[in-house]
Amino acid sequence: MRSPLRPAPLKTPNLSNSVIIAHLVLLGVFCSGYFVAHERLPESWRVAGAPFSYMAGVFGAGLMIVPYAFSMGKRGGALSSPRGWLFAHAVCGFWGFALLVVHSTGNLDQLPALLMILGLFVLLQGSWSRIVVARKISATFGSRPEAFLHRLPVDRIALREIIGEKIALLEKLEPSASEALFSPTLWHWIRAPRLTRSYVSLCRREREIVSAHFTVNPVLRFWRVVHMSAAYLLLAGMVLHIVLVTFFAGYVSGGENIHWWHVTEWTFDWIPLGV
Amino acid sequence: MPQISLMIDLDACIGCKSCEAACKQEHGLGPHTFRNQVLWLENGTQTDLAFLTVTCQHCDRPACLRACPVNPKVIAKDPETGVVSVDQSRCTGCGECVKSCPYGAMGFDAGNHHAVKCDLCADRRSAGKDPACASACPADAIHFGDRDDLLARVEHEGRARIDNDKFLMKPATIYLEPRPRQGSNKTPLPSDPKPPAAMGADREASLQLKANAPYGMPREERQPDRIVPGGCNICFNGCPIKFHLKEDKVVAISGNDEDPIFRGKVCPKSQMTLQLYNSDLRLTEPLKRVGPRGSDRFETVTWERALDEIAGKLLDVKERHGPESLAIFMGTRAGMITKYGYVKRFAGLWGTPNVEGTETLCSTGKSTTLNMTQGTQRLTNIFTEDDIGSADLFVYVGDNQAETRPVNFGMVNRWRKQTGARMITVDPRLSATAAKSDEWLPIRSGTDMALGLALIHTIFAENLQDQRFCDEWILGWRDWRDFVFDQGYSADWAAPIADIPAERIAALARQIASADGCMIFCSRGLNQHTNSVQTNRVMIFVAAVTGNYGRKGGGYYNMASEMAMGSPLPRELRAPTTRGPVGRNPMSWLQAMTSGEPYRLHAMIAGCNPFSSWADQEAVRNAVGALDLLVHIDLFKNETSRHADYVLPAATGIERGGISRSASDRRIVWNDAFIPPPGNAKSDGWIWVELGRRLGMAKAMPEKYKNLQVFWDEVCNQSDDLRGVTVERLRKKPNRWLRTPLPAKGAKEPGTFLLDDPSDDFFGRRFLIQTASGKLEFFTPELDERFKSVGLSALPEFYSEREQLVDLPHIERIAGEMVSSPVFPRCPANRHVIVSPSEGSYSAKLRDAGFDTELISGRPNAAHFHSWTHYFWQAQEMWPDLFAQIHPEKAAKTGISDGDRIVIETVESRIEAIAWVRAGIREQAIFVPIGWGESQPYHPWKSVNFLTSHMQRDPLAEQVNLKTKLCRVLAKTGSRTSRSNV
Repeated sequence: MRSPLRPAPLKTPNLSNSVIIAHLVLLGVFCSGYFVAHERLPESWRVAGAPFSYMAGVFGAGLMIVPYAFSMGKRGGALSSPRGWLFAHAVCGFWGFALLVVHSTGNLDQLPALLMILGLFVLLQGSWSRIVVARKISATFGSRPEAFLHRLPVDRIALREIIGEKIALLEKLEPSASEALFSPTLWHWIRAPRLTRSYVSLCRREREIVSAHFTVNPVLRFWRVVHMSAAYLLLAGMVLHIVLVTFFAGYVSGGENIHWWHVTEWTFDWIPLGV
Repeated sequence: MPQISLMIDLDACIGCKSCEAACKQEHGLGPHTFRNQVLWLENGTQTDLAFLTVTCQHCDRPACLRACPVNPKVIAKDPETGVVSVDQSRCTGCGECVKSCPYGAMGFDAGNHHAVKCDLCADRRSAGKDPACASACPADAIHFGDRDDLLARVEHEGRARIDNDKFLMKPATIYLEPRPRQGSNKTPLPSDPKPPAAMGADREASLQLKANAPYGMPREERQPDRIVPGGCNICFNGCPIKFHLKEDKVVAISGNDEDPIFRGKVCPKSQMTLQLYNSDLRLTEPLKRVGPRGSDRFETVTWERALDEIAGKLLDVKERHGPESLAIFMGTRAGMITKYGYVKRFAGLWGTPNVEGTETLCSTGKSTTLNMTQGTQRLTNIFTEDDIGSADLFVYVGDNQAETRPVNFGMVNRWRKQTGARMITVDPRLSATAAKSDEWLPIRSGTDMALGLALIHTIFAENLQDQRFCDEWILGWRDWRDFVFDQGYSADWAAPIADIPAERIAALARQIASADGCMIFCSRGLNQHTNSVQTNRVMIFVAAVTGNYGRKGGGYYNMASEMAMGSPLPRELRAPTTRGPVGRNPMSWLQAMTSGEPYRLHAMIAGCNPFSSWADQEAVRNAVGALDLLVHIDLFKNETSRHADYVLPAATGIERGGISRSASDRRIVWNDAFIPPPGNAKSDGWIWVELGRRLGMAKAMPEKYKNLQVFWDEVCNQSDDLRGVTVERLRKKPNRWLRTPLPAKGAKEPGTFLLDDPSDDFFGRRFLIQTASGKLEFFTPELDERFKSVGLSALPEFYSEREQLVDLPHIERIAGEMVSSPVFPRCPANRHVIVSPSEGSYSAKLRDAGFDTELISGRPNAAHFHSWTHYFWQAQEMWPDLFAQIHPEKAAKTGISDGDRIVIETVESRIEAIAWVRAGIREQAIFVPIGWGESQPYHPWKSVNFLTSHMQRDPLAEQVNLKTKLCRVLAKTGSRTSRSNV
């Protein structure tokens, strides 16, 4: 009998479909279990701001930093293993969210619940994109034969102008770079935001001319923008929440006893109770 | 180091996708992950067909690199070579590079979530080799090297380049425009070209495609321990290949680059046999049916039990009904040694004359013609530059060589471009062969005989014949000439029949006659008709009277050169038979299985897939269902397996060793058994010896004959063709093949059979023409008697098929009038009569009932070959669905769009297929390929042979008509398969 051929395991971590699905299932079981068992849990697990739920929030937020560190690090050049960090961003995102569910103590009738919904959206949209959109991405191969054979109405004059402007701009933005191989990084945004914005704008114009002859499925086109936008909105929401509960504890408590760790007890009379 | 690039010649490309197969194999890519892809491009309304190889352009300003959001970028451009590559270990799979590439040339591995792209085979380059695509391409369409050198070559050859720099990204890959056809200044590139939906519609949904190792394995895991030569055993191109082995596994298959003729060129099928050897779908254990037939319910049994029970049942059948009631059908899957060696021996020992293969489905028309005309079945010419390559004109009549034998066609097309030879294709559709030709004649299916007769008429009327050759080598040429004139078979007569203008027919005749060497390639387009023998005789006559016979650069060619393979059984061992064969064609078995005419068949052993390949599948299933015993021996479970009582797993290729198919140009290629079969699969030889042992045949089929090498050397090669073809001699050849005939050990390998070269008399006259007269025999009284016995004449009286859109003479069998076949010993044959067209004919009634379309079945594209390739995931990825090529006018009238699911009906049955709307087919015709089946794992469809008839057969050769049926086409509403908008 012939010995079977078996593929060797990958050397870099692979956020494979099965890993994602496994995490989703486990997350679903965890969250469902939390809600089902909610009434039977100790008080510290069920009351917002109680020590256990508070610490769940702290650790959850800590895990949630990983995706943003990945996002920044990827663009900043600090990551030696982007795929490894991608794996970590997903796993930490899943379990950070799980801890935030505990932190929320199941209070979905309060405004911070919007962050939970947003977080769930980011998770699910990211998972779905990874699994489903990946297939759409691979199916684009060979979908643009007109680029080879057509007399396409591509405005080469406009393209030449744009390329010329990019080259000129690059002299100021990154003199050592070649326009052919350059795109701005996070550091360019930090060092020279206006120049970088102008350069990116030129790139966008070039892309519009180049991509005018083919259509990209909107899902393919926007999944990443949606994912990042929702994620950064979530980050903003989390930061706001942390600021409020830490410094505006008086407002957050709504006049009730403040039983969580905080710095000040400022209030905003004009903000609705419960935020 | 200079900048390197690919140069892709769209003029040479034949769309076979061998480069895709090579690329995926080289890089271990799985389904939906591409570094290159060949697109078939057509404009629905133009009769042009182009092939485009999409691959990375290695741009100077790569959009992919600039789009990568990772810092430092995952995509890099080598400053010296210019090669753009991706570091898969760092890619996070965001897909931005894929979206940004305006060429659609960036791949993506959706399983491992990272970009994938062509890097011009960096690993191969570092070992001094060319990229895999360029190495494999049988059409020499892909070249690799220093970009400046390639550009200089382009300029030197005066070739036009395609402008692929519309986006100012400065792509390095060079594309050459197809040359205008001779007599035209228009490049045959369709405007607004699109790939048809049939090429991969709904590609995302094909998730069931699963690649086994070695695909998906890292390169270091796929490095071979040894590389051994052998031959592909799929088609009759018999290409020499190399097997890359790691321990007892195949990790790669490539062309044999040490072969001076083949130069390592190979088609996709050979390479994809890698998927055959490592497939999880292989049968691995004997199975015994436990549910009703067709229920697909089986239990695994041991070989001992399976063979004991089969032997017991066979003996029971023999005792009750006689040995002749066993039929054995061994197709090409089983191999020539099985069919002409083991099975022939077994059948002789058992006592059944009912042993057949696929010849009456494919080629008996041709074989019968050659036997009658020249006394042997050997073909004259060989694929070398100084023989076939030296022809001045190539005419393909019913032969789509570019798709059925891409390696041979690649040679022909390369040679003819070097010499300036002209190429003409006669075919109802614009096949890949026709697309590469200078002229395409869209003939009405079933009327090639009329075309051929008109050619003869023109040749003689204008005194264009090679008179010396006629006088010296052709017996009966005057009879034919006079008959053709008397009947008025002129170009004007043929024009409305063949639906080709008379002046084009006449021009073709003049070109054939005046060419300094004309190769006339024919194939199943002529063979699979009720006028198969007569049409082939007409074509070989055309070749002969123009002197294109027995010379280099000129000849008649049809499929393979058959060899006499002996399995001499001592007379005292042969079991007596009291009844002759039921019929030469296995289709005649159907009646024997049901009504018992001429006697009942009760058991069948099938070694391929009659439930896909036999005509009239409703009748087949009905008939085979009536058998007491059906044993199926095959590689994969298919429709025949589902209906079998026992399914036995077979080994193939290098799992068992043996020879390839008999190649077109008389080559035999040897394979040793290098790897064990999967699971408990066994070689066909083992199965037959074991079965024979249980039936008392051990003396004539001893244990040692399980060793194919021994069996070959002692039994199979005992003929004038093969006596010198020993395993020892084959093994000494680095490419493992020998050209036949080799009548003795140590005999010199022959080349072209030359009739007029006294120095070559040994092979020319002795081996080519073995008629009584020593000449090509087209008319003799004896020959005419043979024809008359079945109602025909040795003179070429024209007839076509029974079902046509225009009423044409056709044959009708005379009920109850059976005679002894004038071709096949002891076989019965039907007497026929040629019927003139009349009102109220069968054809007219069909047309009135709405059967208004000519159905043509045939071989599919190069990636597929009958059933087995449908178990190769990559072949299914290339051509997933059963398609039906239909003209836009007909499609519009029926409300059909490209990609729609349609229904096709004949009086026999109905099937469904995906519409491929294209102008490159006759307006009233529809083409549906063979090979699909309803039990296939990935994209099951009912076989086109549900639509064909088993009763329409050539009276002499018993060849079935699979090429001309009337059908009707309907849109199936609400079922559209279309390419996703990506």
